[in-house]
Amino acid sequence: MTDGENKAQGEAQPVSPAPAPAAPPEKPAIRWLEPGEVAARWEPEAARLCVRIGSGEELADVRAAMGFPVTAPGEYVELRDAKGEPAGMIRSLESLDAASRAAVRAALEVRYLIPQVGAIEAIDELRPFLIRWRVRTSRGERVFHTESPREAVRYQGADRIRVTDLSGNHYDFPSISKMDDASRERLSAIL
Amino acid sequence: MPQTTRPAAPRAEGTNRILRAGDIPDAMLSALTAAGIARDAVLTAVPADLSADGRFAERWLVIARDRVAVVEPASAGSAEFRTGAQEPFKGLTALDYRAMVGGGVLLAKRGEAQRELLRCSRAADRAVQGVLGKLRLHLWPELPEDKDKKKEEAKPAAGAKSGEPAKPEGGDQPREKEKEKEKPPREALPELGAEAGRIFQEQLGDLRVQLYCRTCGVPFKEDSQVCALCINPGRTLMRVLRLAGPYRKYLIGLAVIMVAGTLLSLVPPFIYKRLFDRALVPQAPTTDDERLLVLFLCIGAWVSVELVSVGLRVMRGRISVLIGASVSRDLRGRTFDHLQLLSLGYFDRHKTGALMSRVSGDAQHLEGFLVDGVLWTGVSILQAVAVTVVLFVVNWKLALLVLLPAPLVVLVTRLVWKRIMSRFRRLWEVMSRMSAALNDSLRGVRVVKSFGREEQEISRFDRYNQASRNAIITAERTWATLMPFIQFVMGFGVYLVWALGGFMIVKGLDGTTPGTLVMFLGYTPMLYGPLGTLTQVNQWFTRSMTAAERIFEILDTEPEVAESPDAVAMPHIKGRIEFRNVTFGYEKHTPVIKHATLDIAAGEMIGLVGASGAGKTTTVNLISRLYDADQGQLLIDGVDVRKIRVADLRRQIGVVLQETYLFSGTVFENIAYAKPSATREEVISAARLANAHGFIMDRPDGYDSEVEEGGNNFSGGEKQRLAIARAILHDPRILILDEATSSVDTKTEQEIQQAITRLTAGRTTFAIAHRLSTLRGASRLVVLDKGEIKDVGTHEELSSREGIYRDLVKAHAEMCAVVAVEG
Repeated sequence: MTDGENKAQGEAQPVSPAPAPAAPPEKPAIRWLEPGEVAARWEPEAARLCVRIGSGEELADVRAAMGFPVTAPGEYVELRDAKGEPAGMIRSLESLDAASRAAVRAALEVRYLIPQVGAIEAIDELRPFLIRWRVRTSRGERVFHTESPREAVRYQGADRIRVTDLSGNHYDFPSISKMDDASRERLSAIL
Repeated sequence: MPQTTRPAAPRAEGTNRILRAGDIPDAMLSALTAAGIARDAVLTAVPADLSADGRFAERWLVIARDRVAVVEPASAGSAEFRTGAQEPFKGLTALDYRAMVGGGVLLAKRGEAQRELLRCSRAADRAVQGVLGKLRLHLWPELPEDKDKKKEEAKPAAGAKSGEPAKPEGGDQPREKEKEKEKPPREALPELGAEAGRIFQEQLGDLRVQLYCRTCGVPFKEDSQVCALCINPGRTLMRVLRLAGPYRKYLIGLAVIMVAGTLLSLVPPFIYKRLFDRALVPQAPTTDDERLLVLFLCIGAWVSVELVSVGLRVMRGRISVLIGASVSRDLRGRTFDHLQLLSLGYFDRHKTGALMSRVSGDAQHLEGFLVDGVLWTGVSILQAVAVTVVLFVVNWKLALLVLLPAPLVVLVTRLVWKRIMSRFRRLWEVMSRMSAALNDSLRGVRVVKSFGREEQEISRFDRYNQASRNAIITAERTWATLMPFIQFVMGFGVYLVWALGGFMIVKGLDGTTPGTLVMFLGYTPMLYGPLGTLTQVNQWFTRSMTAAERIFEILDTEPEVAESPDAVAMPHIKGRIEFRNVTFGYEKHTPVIKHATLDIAAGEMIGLVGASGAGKTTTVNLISRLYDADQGQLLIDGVDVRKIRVADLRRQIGVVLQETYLFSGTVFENIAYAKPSATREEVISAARLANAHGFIMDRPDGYDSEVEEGGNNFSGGEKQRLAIARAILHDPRILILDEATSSVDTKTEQEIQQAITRLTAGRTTFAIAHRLSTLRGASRLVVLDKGEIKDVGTHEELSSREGIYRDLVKAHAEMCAVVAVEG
């Protein structure tokens, strides 16, 4: 909230439910953060991102969120302050200096816990409504169970799927065509 | 006490993997002791599944009396543990679980300083969050001054009963509230005492978290009590068959027909033998007349047997359809009836599509199994056994030869069938996506045309269409290639019988005759056909029993909001409502209403205001008893709402919602929905009071106008007025208006407002509206923020002091100005 808004609130007078027309409010606009304007650092122990924008005060406990986590994961990253208010949006992480980029990436790594599947070790249909998957992911090996593909698999374009297991965990298969032949064969047996 | 959803049948074989003090392994306790945590101080251990660097790994969040700690295996796969991060409760200001995408992170805070303790995926985070929710209640208990404040707020507003404005609260209050905001975060109690520790452990039993099968460890689907792997199909089948109990005489008839039919099917090959050995290739000297007599007798017997078989097949098919369809109808009916009894919370947790699939899809699947599955399985087993017995009796050597390729046939059929099915599953998936795209495009045709995106839609559909073509070709090609191969393999027995049987005839071994050979050739397909069928039965059976389990799961769910056995009749509610320290959360560890205390006189109109998510709709849901409070009491005319007969309560509460749902039917039927006995005059009068009569009469069919699916042929304002007419006809003592005038233009709003004023007269009314002007008739306004009652008073009182309400009024004023400018 800006100082101006605080002041306006503090001076607010009793008003009636049928108020007189007031001045039109400001149009909300995205604050685009320019290269060189963002200096970020990551505190790993606290899992905390601290960001200084321009010459302003350093914001602690900043949340970073991707606008397009599926289609453009390194672009359009929004920074929000500890209260959840937008601080600005970065068009591309590539525009940041190396240290800041690493810090924001670390924050995103904590926020996005969905593992990316690179290879499929096995898919076993234990029962008609129960499939066991053994996969290698960006976060290590994992065994999970799903219902039938109809319930568990969502297509995200021609080459990408997202699988949801019985516990509600999501697994991202970012590129089926880039998987090894055996993995693709196993997947094609059920999809 | 709130009631919980637990299945009545003893099928809850799940464990939530949260370890109680007595269940924690010794190795873990040793690691904790080594880190300075006494064994008897450990209360529970909660499983988590991510390491500090976000990789999948075993972790445990241990809650002790005076701290939390994270425990992990000493090395990968080791049974030994070591203790990692620890956070004593002393000086702790928050245990903050931050939900992330696909999991969450636990942060321990000490003022400004914070430390990451644990990460977990969604599989674990419900347990971690649940346990933390309970722990916080003990670490940061409600302070006496908070309780006093709540008591103050509990007092009914002065003059409320007489409808006079309540007295404004003390002038210093806003300043006090400011001070409260500035307070530093409270520190946790340094430890949980013996009593608190005991209660905390008891509370862990209430958590609704991820369950895992005790037997196989497979996770249960959310809110499911069934392990898809360990369901006992035999037990489920018995339960399904019990449903067929009312049709017992048909079942017995069916069994008799099946046995008779199977025995009869064994007769024709015997006739072939006679035909060959006595008429066509006589094995003893005989005349032509005798041969011809045998020929015609055999053919006559054959035709007769076939005729009787046809009759039996017809009867068998008709009876099995009758049983299947009746059981399926009963099951659908019972499921739907039970769904109607379940609480709204159940529907919050289950998608409508999934429930529809259970009521119709699973029941249909079961019907298919009862009609075809049971029948064919029974017939196949009987036939295979009978044929085998006959073959061995006639010639055991040939019989062995016939059975020789059986294992190969079963194996090949299974393998090939699996491959074929995977191709067809893919085809069904592709067709389903094409169907969804078609549905999307046709339902959204107005948007498509408005934006001129026809070409884009054509191209999108083309892609699905092409994919369908490819999938069809793949599936059908697989079928066309592999089925002849299966048939070839199934013919192996025949080739062997020809070869050895022919050899034995030529050599004159064992007295084998051409008739014997022909008889064996007749029996061989009767053996291999059922074997092929039986290879599919297991999968079919399991699938059907899973479908049955999914239905039984609904039938076994007890309503959360059930009628109390000692419920009292309240045919005439006056309308006084009291909230006494009411707390409620859809997820029990995340309260949406917190310690609400309020006293409302009969006939008062209460306006509920607050930002989205403040708890306004939840408050009125509690009054309607769509949910029960987790803590505290809600009283109507001094009686706990849980002790009032549900039918009496619902009959005297009327609701007008933002999203008015109109059922398919006529306008008359929709208005009379709450009072089916209403006369035409009553419906017309109600519509007139609701300012709906005019637009109804403007329609060619007046009150007989058909309402299309979801009321699509009525505008938002028209639907609202029909809903108000419905509520007027219902004539409730307590009325709930939830955003009843949103999304309509000013003129329509005026008309609706007029109707509402007529409707609210003399009734206790709760109105929720973002447009504060809608609440101008309210005797008191209740300001809600994040589930707490922040302020109560008249519009004048609330707007005269700083606070949420004045902010809302200011925001409202600005919005009206924008509307005025843009309009």
